[in-house]
Amino acid sequence: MLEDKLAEIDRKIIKQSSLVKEMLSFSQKALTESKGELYSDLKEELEPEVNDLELEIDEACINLLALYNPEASDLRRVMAILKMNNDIERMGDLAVSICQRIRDIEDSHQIVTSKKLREMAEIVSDMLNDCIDAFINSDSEKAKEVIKTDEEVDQLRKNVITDLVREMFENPNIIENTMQLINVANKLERMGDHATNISEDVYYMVKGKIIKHDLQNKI
Amino acid sequence: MENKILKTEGLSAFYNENEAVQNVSVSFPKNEITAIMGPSGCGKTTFLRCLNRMHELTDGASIDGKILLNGENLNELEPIKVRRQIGMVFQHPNPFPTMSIFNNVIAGYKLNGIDKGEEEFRWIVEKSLKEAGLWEEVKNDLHKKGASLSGGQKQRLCIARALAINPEIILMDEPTSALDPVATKHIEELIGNLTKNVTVILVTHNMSQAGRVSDYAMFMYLGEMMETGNTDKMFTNPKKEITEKFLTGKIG
Amino acid sequence: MKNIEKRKLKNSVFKYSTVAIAILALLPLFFIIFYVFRKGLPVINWEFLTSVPKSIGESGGGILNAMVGTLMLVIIASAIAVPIGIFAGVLISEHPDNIISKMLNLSVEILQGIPSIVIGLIGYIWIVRQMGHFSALSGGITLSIMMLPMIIKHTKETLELIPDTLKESAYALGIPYYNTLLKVILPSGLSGIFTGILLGLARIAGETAPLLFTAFGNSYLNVDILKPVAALPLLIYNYATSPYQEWHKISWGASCILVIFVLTLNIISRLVIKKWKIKY
Repeated sequence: MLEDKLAEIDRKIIKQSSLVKEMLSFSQKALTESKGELYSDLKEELEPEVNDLELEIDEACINLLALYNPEASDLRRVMAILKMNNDIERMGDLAVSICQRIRDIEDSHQIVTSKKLREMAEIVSDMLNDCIDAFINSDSEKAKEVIKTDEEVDQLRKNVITDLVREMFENPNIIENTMQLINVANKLERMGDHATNISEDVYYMVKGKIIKHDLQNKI
Repeated sequence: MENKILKTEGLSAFYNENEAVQNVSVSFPKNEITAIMGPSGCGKTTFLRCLNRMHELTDGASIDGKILLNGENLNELEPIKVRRQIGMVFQHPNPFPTMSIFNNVIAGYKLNGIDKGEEEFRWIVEKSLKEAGLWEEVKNDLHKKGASLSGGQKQRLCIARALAINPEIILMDEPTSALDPVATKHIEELIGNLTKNVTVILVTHNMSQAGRVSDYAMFMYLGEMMETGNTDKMFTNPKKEITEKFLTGKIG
Repeated sequence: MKNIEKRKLKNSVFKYSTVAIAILALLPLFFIIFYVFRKGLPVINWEFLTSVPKSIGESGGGILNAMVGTLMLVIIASAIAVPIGIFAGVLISEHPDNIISKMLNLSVEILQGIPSIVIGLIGYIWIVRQMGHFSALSGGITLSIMMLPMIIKHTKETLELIPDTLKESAYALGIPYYNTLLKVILPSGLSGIFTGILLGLARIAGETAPLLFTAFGNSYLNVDILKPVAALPLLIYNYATSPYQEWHKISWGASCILVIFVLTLNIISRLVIKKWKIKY
């Protein structure tokens, strides 16, 4: 019945998000240990599974809407999952891309690290954990916190880029690699945005209120 | 590949000159729930009643074509034998009013003069009432008359009565149309659990119910079988335009 | 007067006059019962109920033979009318389009309207003449003819009320027609059929005219159905029209017994309906 089908979709999306969490932690490791080779592990094992789940979740949600006419909180749940599905899959793509950038840097045998970058990755990883927890526990307060954290991430990105640009001026040899790191910072910020989207959807699922695009006023 | 338990070949049904069901050839998958849906008057109930040879009980009724149960042509069997393998539950719950709940469940045996003995009857009653989701509510009142139950309970009793004789298929003719939403939900849930042992063929004019309950769906319109297929596929992407019109509420 | 006042007044007038007319209609019934009981109860005692009438001039005596006779007639009539009546009722309700059913329907209506004395005459010609003498049997047969329409009608109407779906669920279980009829349909209609029988009994218990030509009456206790037999209505008729005071008293007592019998049957039939009636 409806409850069983909803539970099945819940399981799928939680599985999908834990796969993406793993992918993100791989990217963090790549950043910390400069090990871009993890990239191939990601690409081969985890990414196809995440993509398959995205298709399965889409189909399951559509079937559920067609066959069971969910209403009220059930309907909001299905809609939230349908959207989260998208954001989670994109986060997976971004994690893969980050590893790819690190590998490109290694190929040039230059190791460039940035403490602030690692900090960004840490915060984004927390955001992902928190927004999925918020979904599992229907916790609208936690969702709000994640949304607020996005500002920090945005600020960090600006700081990281400022630092990296300064380094480029000081050392023109590392421009190409530094550009890759700037790219990584941008990708991490986008991941933060996706986590924020997920939290907004969770908030809507729990409270029935839409809080997108107008953060300061609505929260 | 699903196993098909029941097949019709060119089945047409008539009331005197009026052809209510036109040349229907379909198969029903075993141990699954098939819903036959369509607007009022499309012939779905007439079609259903052909399957257990109840149609011929009406004056002036006749059929053409074949109905095959596990390969055997039903028209060549005795109607009584057919009806013991293919049971039926009707729209209005109708337990036998002069009999107790216990005797209602085993009516298919007792009224046919089959005596299985007190102990086996008790086992059959418990098993059937459990399958129908009614055991807990009536286990201490089995001697009470069937008429003392609520509408939803009566319908579950009728389902238990049909299950008790171990048919291969159970036909249901709009089983929840006369019930309130809560009772309807109970029965939809129990139908889902029946498929371990029986195949269910259900007629409903409520397409939401067809969507919720069935694995396989058939759409009938003006006596003809328009489309059949897996329920989720039909509801998300029907093959024929007429089916689409029905599902989106433009006809019927 | 304002409109609403007018309507209220109309309502009250209507209500009260309906009640008044209803009471008026019931008065004769109450008066009859009251009078019969007043005149008849004092006469009833053990001797009254257990002895036969004494000859003219002697005091005492009772109505045992009449009571026994009425009982015999009622039993014979029932034995004939009940099976035939139920069978016919079943036939009409199960196969209403059959020509026989249609004829039966018509016959029942006509039979109900024939005056009882005419039926008595028919009984005389067909049975008494053939047998050569009066008898309880001829009386019973004649009364059964009068009982039939009631039973057939009630049976038919009760069975017609049974929803088709009940029959269909029996067929759907693979139960053949005759088992369905005997074990599902008839038991469900039992209360109505029983009522028909009771009301039929109540009717014939008090019939006098047909008995004049068939059972004829008997001053002695007789349990042989081939011989004439006494009956309460006959006794009441004979004694009430006699010139003897004693006999008048006895006929009041007999009337009282008859009224009690009929009332009881009616009350039982109401209780039966209440208890056994099945709602679908």
